[in-house]
Amino acid sequence: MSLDKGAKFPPPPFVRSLEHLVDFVDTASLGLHWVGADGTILWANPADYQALGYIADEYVGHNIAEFHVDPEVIADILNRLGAGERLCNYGARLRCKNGSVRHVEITSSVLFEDTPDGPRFVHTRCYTQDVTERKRMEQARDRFVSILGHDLRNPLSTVAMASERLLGAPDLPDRYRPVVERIASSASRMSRMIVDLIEFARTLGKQLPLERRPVDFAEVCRRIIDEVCQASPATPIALHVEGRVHGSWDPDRLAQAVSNLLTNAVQHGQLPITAKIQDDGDHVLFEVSNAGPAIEPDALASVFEPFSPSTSTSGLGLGLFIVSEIVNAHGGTITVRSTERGTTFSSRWPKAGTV
Amino acid sequence: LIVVAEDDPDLRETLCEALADAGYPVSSARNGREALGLVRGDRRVCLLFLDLMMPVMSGYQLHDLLVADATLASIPVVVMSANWDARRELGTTDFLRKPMSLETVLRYAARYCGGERRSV
Repeated sequence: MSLDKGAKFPPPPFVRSLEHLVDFVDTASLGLHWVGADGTILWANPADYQALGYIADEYVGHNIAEFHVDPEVIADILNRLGAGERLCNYGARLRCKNGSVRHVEITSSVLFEDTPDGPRFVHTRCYTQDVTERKRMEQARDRFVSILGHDLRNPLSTVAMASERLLGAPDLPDRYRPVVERIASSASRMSRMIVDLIEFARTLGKQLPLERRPVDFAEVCRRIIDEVCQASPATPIALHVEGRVHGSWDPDRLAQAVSNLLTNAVQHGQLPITAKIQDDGDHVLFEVSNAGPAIEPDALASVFEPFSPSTSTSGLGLGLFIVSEIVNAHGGTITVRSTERGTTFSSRWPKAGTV
Repeated sequence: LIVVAEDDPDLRETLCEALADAGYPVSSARNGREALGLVRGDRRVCLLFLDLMMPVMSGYQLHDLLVADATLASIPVVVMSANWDARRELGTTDFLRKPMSLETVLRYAARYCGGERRSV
């Protein structure tokens, strides 16, 4: 795409503007192209074909499907565009001239022209972003999560069960009992850290997936309180339930959020610790309070940030971040207030889909 | 008889020793195929502890085979996995999330094989 640069007189301002626009498009790092209704590439900027290792003649004039790895994907793209849909960051794979594959995200819509016979498909306006490196990072992250999730948990299971077995052995010498208890408690702590890290890695840049079901908030909370109190028998937790506290939530995620909030109170607060669940119209209010000194304002401001050093359920500073991700995914909110009299985490959970 | 299908040798042996200590007869398998041979070959099997990520034949594959086989479908299966979502994928409630506690393992053994114990 070029303009006549041999013009005798300086071009009028609008032509100079057009030259600048062409220069802008030709030097863009984002791939841009137009495709006709039959899939033929009508025009492309250098970034578009050079990213695949082609020159203009090897690309423009060819059918766009020739460059897609997955025929069903480009067929779907063209069908949707033809129907007037606007695509935003549609994932696709393109094949380079050397045979390698690039992952791209395509944003595209069709320029339609009004005619007496109705709208005419002029061409697509397609912006192609190469996300190959990001995909590679995501794959590395998935592998990392897999290592955390599977490969590390097997040896950890062995440590946890072997120490439990030793603690149950009547002939374990008393002087070794505290040693084995420390092994068991460290294995348990490491297990919580792994759970938190997996959740953190899974939520990076993604909306947390939910499987909503009718749930009794109080029932989930009672179960988690039992678990937390079993692990910390010296720390009773009082539960107050007001009204009907049923809603449509992901029971596993809800349990995880409740567990993290209660464990946080047990680990960082002082007695008494109370949990309150209250019917609040179309929401359920869930509060966890503990006595203890006020959290410093700076620390309070970052309490829901990942790797927050101020409070955490795991030693990694991810517990409350995960809570806030779970609450947000449900469309709820969470806040914290802290004074010399104690600290309270208040979360509001929309009942949406209550049955 | 309890069958433990787990590819991690340390975990497999720890599970087998703990169950044997509690008085249960135990056989172990390093993968799904070995476990399938054991459950097909012995009618006394009262419980299968099943890891999911195993070589040769995965726990997922074995689970599908057991569910589809009328003669084996009644064998209780407790799935052991680090992946919480697997519980939903397999539609099972008998699930041990790794790292699991010995207490929970023994509770499952007592639930399904209580009568088989030689001694406690």
